[in-house]
Amino acid sequence: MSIVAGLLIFFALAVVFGLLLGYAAVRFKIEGNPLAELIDKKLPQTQCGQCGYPGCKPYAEALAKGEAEVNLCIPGGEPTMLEIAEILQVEPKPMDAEATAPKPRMVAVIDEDICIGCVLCIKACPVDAIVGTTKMMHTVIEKECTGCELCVPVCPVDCIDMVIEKTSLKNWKWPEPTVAAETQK
Amino acid sequence: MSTNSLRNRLIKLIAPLYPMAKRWLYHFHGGVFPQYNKSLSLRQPLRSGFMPKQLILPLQQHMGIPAVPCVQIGDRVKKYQLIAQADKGLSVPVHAPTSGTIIALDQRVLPHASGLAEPCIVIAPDGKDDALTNPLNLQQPPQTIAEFKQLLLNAGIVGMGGAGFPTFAKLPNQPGLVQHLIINGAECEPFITCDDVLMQTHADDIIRAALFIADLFAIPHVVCGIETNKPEAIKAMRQACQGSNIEVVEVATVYPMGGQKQLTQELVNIEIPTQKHSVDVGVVMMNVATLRAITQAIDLGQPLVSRFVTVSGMGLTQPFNIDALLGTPFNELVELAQPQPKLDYPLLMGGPMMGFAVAQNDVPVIKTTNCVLANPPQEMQDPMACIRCGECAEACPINLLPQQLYWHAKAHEFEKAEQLNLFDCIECGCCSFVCPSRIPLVQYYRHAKAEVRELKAQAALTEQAKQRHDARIARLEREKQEREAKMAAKKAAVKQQAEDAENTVKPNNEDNAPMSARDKAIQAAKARQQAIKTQAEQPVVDKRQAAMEAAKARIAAKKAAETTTEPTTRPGAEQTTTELTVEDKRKAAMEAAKARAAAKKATETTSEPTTRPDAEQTTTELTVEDKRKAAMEAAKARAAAKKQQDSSP
Amino acid sequence: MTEYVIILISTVLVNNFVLVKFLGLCPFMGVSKKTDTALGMGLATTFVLTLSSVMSYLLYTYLLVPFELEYLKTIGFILSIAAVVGFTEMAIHKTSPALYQVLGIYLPLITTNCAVLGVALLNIGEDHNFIESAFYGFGAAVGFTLAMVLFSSIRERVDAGDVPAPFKGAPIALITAGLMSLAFMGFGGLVQ
Repeated sequence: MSIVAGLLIFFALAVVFGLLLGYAAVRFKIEGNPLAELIDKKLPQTQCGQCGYPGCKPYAEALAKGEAEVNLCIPGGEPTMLEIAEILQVEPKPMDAEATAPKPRMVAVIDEDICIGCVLCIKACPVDAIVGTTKMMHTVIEKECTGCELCVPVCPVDCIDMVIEKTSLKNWKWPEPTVAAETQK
Repeated sequence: MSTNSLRNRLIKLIAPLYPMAKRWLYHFHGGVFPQYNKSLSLRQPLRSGFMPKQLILPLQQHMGIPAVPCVQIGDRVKKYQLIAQADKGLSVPVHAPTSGTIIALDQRVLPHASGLAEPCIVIAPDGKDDALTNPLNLQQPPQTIAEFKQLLLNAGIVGMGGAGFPTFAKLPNQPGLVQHLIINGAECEPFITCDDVLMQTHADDIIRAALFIADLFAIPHVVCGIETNKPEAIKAMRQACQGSNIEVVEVATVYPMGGQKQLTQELVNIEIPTQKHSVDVGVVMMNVATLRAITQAIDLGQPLVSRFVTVSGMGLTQPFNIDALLGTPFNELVELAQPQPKLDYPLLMGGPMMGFAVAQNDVPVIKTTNCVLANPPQEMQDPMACIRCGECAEACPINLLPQQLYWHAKAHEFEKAEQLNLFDCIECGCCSFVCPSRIPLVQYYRHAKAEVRELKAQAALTEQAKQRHDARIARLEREKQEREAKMAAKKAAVKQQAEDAENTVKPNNEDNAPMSARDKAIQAAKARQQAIKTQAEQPVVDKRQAAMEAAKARIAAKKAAETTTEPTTRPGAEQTTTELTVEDKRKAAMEAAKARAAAKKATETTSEPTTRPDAEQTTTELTVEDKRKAAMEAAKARAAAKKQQDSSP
Repeated sequence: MTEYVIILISTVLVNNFVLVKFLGLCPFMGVSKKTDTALGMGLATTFVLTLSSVMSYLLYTYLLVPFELEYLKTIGFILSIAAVVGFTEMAIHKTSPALYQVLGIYLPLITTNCAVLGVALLNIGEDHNFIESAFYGFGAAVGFTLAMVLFSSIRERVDAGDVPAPFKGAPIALITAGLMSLAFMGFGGLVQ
């Protein structure tokens, strides 16, 4: 008797909890992928495509789906990789040798004497930071340039250079003092 | 008053036993009592008239945007002449401090903590000191606030206490907004006495400017705060104030009494809220040197070209104060004071608390240089670990938590440091001064501030890049749709045309009914023409579509050219396709051959070698079936090649 | 009313589940690196603990006892706890994906959190009635959350400080936990 009662009770419990969880699954259905948004915020938004995806958002989406490695973002370097790994709760993967540290901010500069006005770089720029038109000289809007380098290889006359932003009174930073604990050793 | 003086006397009595009792003498929190050494530079009389070999005038001597030079190398300039105009925005002009020749316009090291070189105008004085008369073109003292502010801008006047904020930008635009005008004569940094001397010698000038401003802006309360360690200055100022309602108040001698927030709290008992300017709470504070410069502008129409500078330090035998021309190199001033030992260490600009070592000793005096300090370097002891004594929090005049800020700054948790009001730190150096472990706390805060600013700028850039990328994607999508719509419309038109033609000539074209070679060729040519047209219009994206079209046309042409044996290759025949002569068949064949050649070329450029033998094979055997296949193959190959070309950068 | 207050004080401070009874230590060490996550974990556990405490009581009193099936209490409790955790997991995933990611494996691990089953079993052992059970579960959870938040705050500050190299990471965390436990022992004289 008690065995039957036990079976019945646990069967009933299983049904009740099953229904409860089934309801929860419907009620708390996840639309879209909020993780992708989260990762996208951490990416440097250079839209350089060096990860193999056509921009930061697609890479973030691929990461959120678990389809991409965490160490593909070259401009973000190791800090970004670690952040992504933390969000995704996966093991950090070492970056390629040259991409461990994030690069200093670079901007593209067009040598206006050489430029032939082919518009190829304008098409390549992911943030529309190059202005100019056919047969006319082009120039880079410095403050819009993300330093993605996508315009460099497409230039048929190699007139685009990547330059490191010059330190001036505007962007000069006080250096960090040497850490007290280190000087003690 | 008597209870107050009794209290003060009592505190003075306790002070030797308990030095911090002196903190009961004033109203703000914290503060420190360093060794003042002010008497050093007061022993010598005020010097003036020193003419250096060259004057170096940086285009940026103030906070904001650099001025724009308006002279050329080789130009002769007179004293007070405008040599660099104010740029748009927060900027002030630069004037020639003496007559002479412009000998250079180049990058010189600035008296700035960064040691960076920035554009400067260099003047070689001719020694005549020829001055322009009425350089600011002043007919009468300014009557309105707008005129006054324009005059301040034209005269290049900035806050001369140290920050260098353009004075015109600090004042409100209408009267009645300011309740208190505070004349800052506290001068709390050790060693520095230039304001002290200025108050002793030019008290009238200072008071006149203060009264002028009070009148113009309808400021009811004008008060001057001077530290008790400057009895001469207090006397002179009290004398100058006689007959006016300006109040001269002795304030306790404590560092940093001269800070804006501190002196405001001490004199009018108003705390300036975090992230607000003093003008928001109805207070305007002006340094005595700034006020004197204003008097020179409104009385004589003279721009700011010189200032009082203290040249002092433990390494000088004859320290002094000097009315120095802007642009005078530090080392020339220091040589006048007979340095002992030899000057082979970096000089300090500013006092020992907030000053910084300059990168080169020949940097010039600028509008904010109140002191050139020559303190021989002392044996620096390495900082040790924080022992959490809490002295820094006791000393902080802003009531911050220096130790917490230090932990966060050190651990690079800048957001948390910001939450602890990092940006309210005035970098006065009290915390570093009292730290028994000699930790350079202020350095950490400066670094943290710079990092926070950079992070914010970076975040803004990132956001901007994202928006622009999204906008671009949206634009490309829109353009693609527009193009597709256009294409569809065109295709429909072509089809309509073809159907019309078929209907008139032969209604059952779809069933592969026999058709004259000529008609077929016409159709093919039409299609090709269409393809070429679209190709010209949409070069990149529609090439593929055009190629497909061309391939279809070729198939048709091949069918027509069934009877021909071997197509002769004749490159360079391009325009023939449009004409419709009797040689249709041959031309069609030629077209097919060309297509094959193109296909071969395409396969050669692609990295896949496997397609090549196929293409070659097809060129040798030429049955009808194979030809068709070959053409298909060729079209495919071309499409692949194009795809690859497009995708590879 | 007093007895409920006593139950609360007893579970939160005197018999703190983490620091005095050593229950639920794995999330205590695992997700206490940041205060935000610690608080999130605390809230999730609070929800699960209170609900499962009540459910276990109902299950035991109204189903198992009448049918003399007390020997099935462990499996029954685990079943109900697992259901509540599953529900909580989905709710958090929906409402706060970031917290869900950060809590990671520790969220489903609440199922086997010994504090949760411990509360259910202790309720029976101490013959609590319905309301007492609810208070007991809630108090235990609040105590857990309190310990989590305090511990994570300390850990945040310890991380920024100069910890001698051999003590960095887990050792200093365990030492800190030990000192906290020591401090909570001080509440021992509060009740009784």
